[in-house]
Amino acid sequence: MKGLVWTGVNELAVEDVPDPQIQNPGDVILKVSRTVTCGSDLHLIGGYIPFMQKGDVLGHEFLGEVVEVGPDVRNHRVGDRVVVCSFIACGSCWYCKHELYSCCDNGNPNPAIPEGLWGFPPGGCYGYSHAMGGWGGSHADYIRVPYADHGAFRVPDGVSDERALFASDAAPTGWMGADLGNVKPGDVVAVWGCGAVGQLAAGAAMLLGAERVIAIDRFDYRLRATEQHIGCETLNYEQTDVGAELRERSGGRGPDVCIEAVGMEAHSPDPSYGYDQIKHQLRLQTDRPTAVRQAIYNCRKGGTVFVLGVFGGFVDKFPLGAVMNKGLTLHSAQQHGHRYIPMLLERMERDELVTEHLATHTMPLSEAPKGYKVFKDKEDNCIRSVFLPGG
Amino acid sequence: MGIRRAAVAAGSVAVAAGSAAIKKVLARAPSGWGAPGGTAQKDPQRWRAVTVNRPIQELEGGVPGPLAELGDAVEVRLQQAPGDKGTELHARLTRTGHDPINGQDPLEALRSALRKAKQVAEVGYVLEPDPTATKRTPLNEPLRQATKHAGGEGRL
Repeated sequence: MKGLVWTGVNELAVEDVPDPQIQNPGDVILKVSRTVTCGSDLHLIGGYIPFMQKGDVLGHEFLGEVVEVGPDVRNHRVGDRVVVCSFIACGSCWYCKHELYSCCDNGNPNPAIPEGLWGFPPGGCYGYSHAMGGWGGSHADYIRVPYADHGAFRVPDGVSDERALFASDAAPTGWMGADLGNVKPGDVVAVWGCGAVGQLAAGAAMLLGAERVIAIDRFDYRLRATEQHIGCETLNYEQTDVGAELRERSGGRGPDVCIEAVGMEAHSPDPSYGYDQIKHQLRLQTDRPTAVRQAIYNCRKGGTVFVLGVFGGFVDKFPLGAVMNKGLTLHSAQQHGHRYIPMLLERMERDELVTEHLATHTMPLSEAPKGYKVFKDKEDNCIRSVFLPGG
Repeated sequence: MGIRRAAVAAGSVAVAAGSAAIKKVLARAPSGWGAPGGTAQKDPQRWRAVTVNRPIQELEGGVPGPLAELGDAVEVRLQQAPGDKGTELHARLTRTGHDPINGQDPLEALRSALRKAKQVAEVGYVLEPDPTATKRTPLNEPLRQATKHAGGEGRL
């Protein structure tokens, strides 16, 4: 079969890769219908998460058709149209039983690598480096789905592929930021980043009853899309003083909940950006936490900051003093999609949650390297590039 | 030139002093800080543990296969975990030395068996990784080696 493989830092190619096979009784094999780029892939492609090998297949956000089932699979049959959570979780360990699915004890076959990095290993993730299990990615014609009874979800007939695709990762990630950020009716919520995850975090905050939601970015086309499709307020951080705006729009208090949806390659118009870039490029810090710093600094006293963006290692100039002296709650996680995907699919069916506008560029898998370039460079108003395997 | 030599010498002294200070701090630090290469992590006699999300009664009849397969090379004990966390499964090597167990480094074999035993008890089987189709390069050799041993001891 064909797959999009990482061949070196900032080098991608579509190549022949081995077909996946049932390896455990709880596996299914999926024929991938749609698979989409994610901003966190760029960290892998750019070598910022140095656990990729030449030939690794990328991609973790996808849906498809079940073409083979293992003998222990109970919830799926050949022909089912399913969306799959990007994180691989067993459904049986203590973390899964407590709905902390991305922390699953049994989803990562390479636990010693993340144990060395982070103390304990999170679950596995498709196409997301050998630190996260070395799993084959979804940018391919077929993919193996372990623990399929827990991680694959039937898509209701009334939900299109185009919409359901984002129930795999972007929608549950965004929802988790608002949910575990404890957004409540009456809250003012600020979201850094108007990519797919940031938009869907803002949308989740609105659906959870926030009084006012303000999304922040620098690209006008992303701000317009957020206003048009999510319906919240926006700020362009290159054109306004974000801190002043957030303070005044929240009556001088500061937002109750600040959600960071940017990650380790953040941009800033401040001089600190140059400092962070130099340290990042020299690998003196592994991540650039600009948006995290802003979220912490601008959050109201006693508020919550949720870090949704992906970080891999260590950051510099972390404002711990602001966290401590303002009594903030700092929360973060890789996405616990299993707890949200069924509910999100229902909301998609009721048209409460729409995502089609995020798929600005759709193309055959054979054009995936170009799709990543357009996505990375934000050319042609790109929000996400979607690939059609077999096309 | 003299200034340069003096600077290099001063730098060397500073690095040596810093290194000694770090070692001293790590030696006094709580368990875990000294993990990189520390004796606490490598002590072959230390009990290794995982917590299995199953009631202790299920495990009292016999430890899961991957650990049982190590036979008398390991000593095993069970303990009720606090709260709702299930059962603590503890194991340690019964002999010192570096003789391989089933072809593996003994500590790697022990840790790997604990992880697999937990999976068997919780899920019913050991999760098989995807077969790798990656290509060997000079740059990725360290990662390939790390991945080869990535089921064993994790704290570097």
